[in-house]
Amino acid sequence: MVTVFNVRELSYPCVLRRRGLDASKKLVKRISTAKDVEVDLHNVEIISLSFLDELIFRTYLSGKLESVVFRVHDRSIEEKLERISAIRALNIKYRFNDNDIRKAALRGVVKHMPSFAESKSVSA
Amino acid sequence: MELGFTTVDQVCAQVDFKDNLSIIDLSQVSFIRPFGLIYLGMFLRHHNALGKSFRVIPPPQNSNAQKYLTTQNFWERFNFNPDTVAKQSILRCKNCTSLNDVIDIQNRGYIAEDVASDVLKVLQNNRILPAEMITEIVSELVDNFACHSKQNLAALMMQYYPTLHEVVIAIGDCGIGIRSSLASNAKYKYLKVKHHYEAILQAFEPLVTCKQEGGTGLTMVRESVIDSGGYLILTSGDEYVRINEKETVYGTMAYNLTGVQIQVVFPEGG
Repeated sequence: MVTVFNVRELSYPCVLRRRGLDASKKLVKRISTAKDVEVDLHNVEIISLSFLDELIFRTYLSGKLESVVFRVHDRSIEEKLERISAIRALNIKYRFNDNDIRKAALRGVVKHMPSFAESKSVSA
Repeated sequence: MELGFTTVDQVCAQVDFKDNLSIIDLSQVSFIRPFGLIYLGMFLRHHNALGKSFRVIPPPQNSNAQKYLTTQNFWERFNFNPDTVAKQSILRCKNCTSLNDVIDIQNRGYIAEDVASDVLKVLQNNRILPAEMITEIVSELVDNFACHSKQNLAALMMQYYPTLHEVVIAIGDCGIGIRSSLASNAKYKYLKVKHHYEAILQAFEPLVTCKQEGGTGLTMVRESVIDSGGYLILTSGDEYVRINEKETVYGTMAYNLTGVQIQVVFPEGG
């Protein structure tokens, strides 16, 4: 039996890292009573990368991340999961609505070789 | 002269601190960019905190620039003695988040959430996109100030340029700066004797933080700005780093200002 709940039930607003920590504590508790859970990331104005990172990483440290599937509804959240997956080298499961479960693909980070600028004039 | 990233540090560097009342020459300023306003404000606030008085003689000759500074409550906000401003009336602007106004940010636990909530409303009311992404970046920058600066007060400005289709966010503090902050973590202690730009670049890397947890905030800011086609400038101490989708460059500032000052520029709809 899969238990589904909205991320707002874990913490709100979903912007600050410390809120992600609060959310992970509640999530881990819920996982101990319901083995498999799905966290719906819908109906929240902003879910920041810091919030998600803390929620996911702390849940991972508790050994419970395998039991969680995130429900995503737009590409921007999917991208955040990909970034966290790449940064933390974690296996994050998610799905769009009732589609099959996916694993966040690694999203590369843009890397420039920094160069010294003789002048400060902004060309961008 | 435009008071912005390319000029404001020179204006600060020209101040003669030997005089009892130092002079800041803004006479040639005709246009003020958010970064210029925030950087100069932090310069004034920093020196005022050290007990240094300033006089602006003469203020901008350009009446629009002069009016703009007055409207922004610039003189009082950054601890100017209003009597030194040549008899012009000082208009108090409302001290809440809005487009085209400076706000002061007091360091308290959930300040980033409060600011983010205000910023999102303003952007949505003005139909400026991408509202969520800009708001997330503002919250990260404000939270960085709250968590790392060891200062009580920062200043934030959000400016919208409809003809340029640009949204500009500038935020500054006069706290301990990125190098000192990172060097407080034993892992990055080596940065203490390195250039500021090296610490800044390090801070943009994933999982680099002075704390036990986190270290994704500035990485996200960089990635989002690059993805949107915008650019960012971050100064700390006597160096800066500028990042856009094509390049990352660093260089020196003419003035060595404590803390962190950052400007993020987004193309509207980016």
